[in-house]
Amino acid sequence: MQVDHKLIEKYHLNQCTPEERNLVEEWLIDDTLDFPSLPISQADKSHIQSEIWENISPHITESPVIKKENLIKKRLRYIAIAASLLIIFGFYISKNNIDKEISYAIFDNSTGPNSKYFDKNNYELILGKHATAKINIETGEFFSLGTMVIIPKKDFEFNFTGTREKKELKNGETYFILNSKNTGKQIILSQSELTFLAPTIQNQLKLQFNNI
Amino acid sequence: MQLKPISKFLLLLLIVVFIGCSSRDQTSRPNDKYSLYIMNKNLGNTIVTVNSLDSGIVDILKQGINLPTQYFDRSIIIHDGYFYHIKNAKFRKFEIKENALSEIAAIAMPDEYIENMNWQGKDTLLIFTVDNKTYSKLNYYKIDVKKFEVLQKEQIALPPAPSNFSTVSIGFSTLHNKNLILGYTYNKVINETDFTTIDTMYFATLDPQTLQIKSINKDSRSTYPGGINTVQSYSFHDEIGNFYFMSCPGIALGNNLTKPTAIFRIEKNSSIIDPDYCINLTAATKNHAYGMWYIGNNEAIIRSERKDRYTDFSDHHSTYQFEYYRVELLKNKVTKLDLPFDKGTRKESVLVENGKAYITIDDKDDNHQIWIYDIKTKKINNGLKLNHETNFMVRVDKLN
Repeated sequence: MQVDHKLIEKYHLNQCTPEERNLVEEWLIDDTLDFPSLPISQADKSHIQSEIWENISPHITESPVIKKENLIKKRLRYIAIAASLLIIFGFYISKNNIDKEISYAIFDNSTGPNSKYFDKNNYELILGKHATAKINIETGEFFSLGTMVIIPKKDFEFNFTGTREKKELKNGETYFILNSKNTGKQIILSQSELTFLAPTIQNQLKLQFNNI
Repeated sequence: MQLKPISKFLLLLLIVVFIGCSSRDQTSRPNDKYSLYIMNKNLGNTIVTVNSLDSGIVDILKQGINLPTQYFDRSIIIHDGYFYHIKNAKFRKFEIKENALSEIAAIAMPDEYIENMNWQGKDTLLIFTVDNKTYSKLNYYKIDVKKFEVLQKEQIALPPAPSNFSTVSIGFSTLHNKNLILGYTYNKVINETDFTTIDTMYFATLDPQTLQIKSINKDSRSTYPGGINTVQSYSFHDEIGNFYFMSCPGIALGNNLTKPTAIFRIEKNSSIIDPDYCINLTAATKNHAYGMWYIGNNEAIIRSERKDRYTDFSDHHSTYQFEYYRVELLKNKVTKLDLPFDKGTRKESVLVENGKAYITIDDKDDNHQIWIYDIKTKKINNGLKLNHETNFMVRVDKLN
């Protein structure tokens, strides 16, 4: 049996057999393991390489076209430059807006009776039952409703909703995010800080997230 | 003074040997007398072993044993040079080897969670577990830790939980007056971050051989008798065999604030709780407490929270709020010790030895050190210090 993304997903969803669970946890702890390279044959590799080259080559072989100028064309050129600048500027603004939308990730498990696992470029996220989250990793804005676990894949600064309070989250560490049902306050605890919670709360979290 | 080349060489050799020895001294050794469990600022966990708690400075990252937090936590059991911990459905035994905890044996213990442990002599350990699915089925294991095998396993059929209070908490276990007495209670989960405990303490008297329940007694003067004793101590026997325990209804264990934190007693020749004995700590301190350690001569130290300093469970562990009190068990007298506020919810922070109580405190000035309380003279001195990589000193144990 090998640890792959499917097994890790199963693990986070608490669906592993004890053997699978052991395997994943040993894999997580062991940093001496060698990883096999991607399972691509040499033939496939050459095929992919040639495909990429075919896509690129027409753009390289095309020679630049040189045209003679005249007066009208000279005027036209200024207009063209101005228009291009406008287009570039407009494109820049619209692209910026798109970027903002992309980095605001929304996760919804509000109707889910079980926890749900997400694997993103910058973090892994496991939403507890009926939990939702809205995350902007660049600004650290993190709206959460319900209980969840985040495992960052890079260091980032967590901004507590509605306050100026911040907390540095570390790459690779497991964090539990809770919302106090009584005060509405966000609480974020690292794996070992979890042992400060009352045992009854810890047990509830253990039932939901199998990685404690 | 001129040194001959051979003398110079010998001196150099001596220096090299000395450096070699002292650098070896830097790491943790299996024969050290004490063990400290630390939660680091870098979010890792470290065990540091030392031969003396009276003085010295420890660089925890250089001298300690780094523990992976996916595998270990502070509920680790430390006894007679070895470490015991339940993980991945197995109860495991570890020793210190090459500055790491190395597993040497394991016993299958699937779907279990340790609520209480009890040493019977040097090599016999009793463990009380609940299942990690319903937190309501109680099991008993008697383990020979030397051979590392289960001598006896029994299911203990506690009476069904009162309605809505579906999970059980075992607060203490004691072999007392030829019986095995268990203190326990029932909890109700309200939502993901809120829960409470029923308003009663329960006591089961069992036959220590067959684990059959002989009787169940109740007491509603407080609730949540004891606590999870792999994390913190809540009970002891005095010199003549009276058994004392504290109840913990405060937010860190029972979360039933209608009841007081109090100390109760089961007398030497009795198997039922003394109906006339109660030290109401909440009445004395206006607060709740968690943790109690016997210092001899009918006196104990307790660790008490300050409700005016924390908001709720979210900052309970990070607030500098914990005070230590000396309790005179026969005089019902409670006196505060002159120590800085400590932080960290539920810590095994007191070790009593040779007339001294060694108290680990993480104070507001980022000092992480042992305060030595002389039980006879009541004088307090500073002891061993850990460096600023330390966040919480969560355990101090006798290792050997």
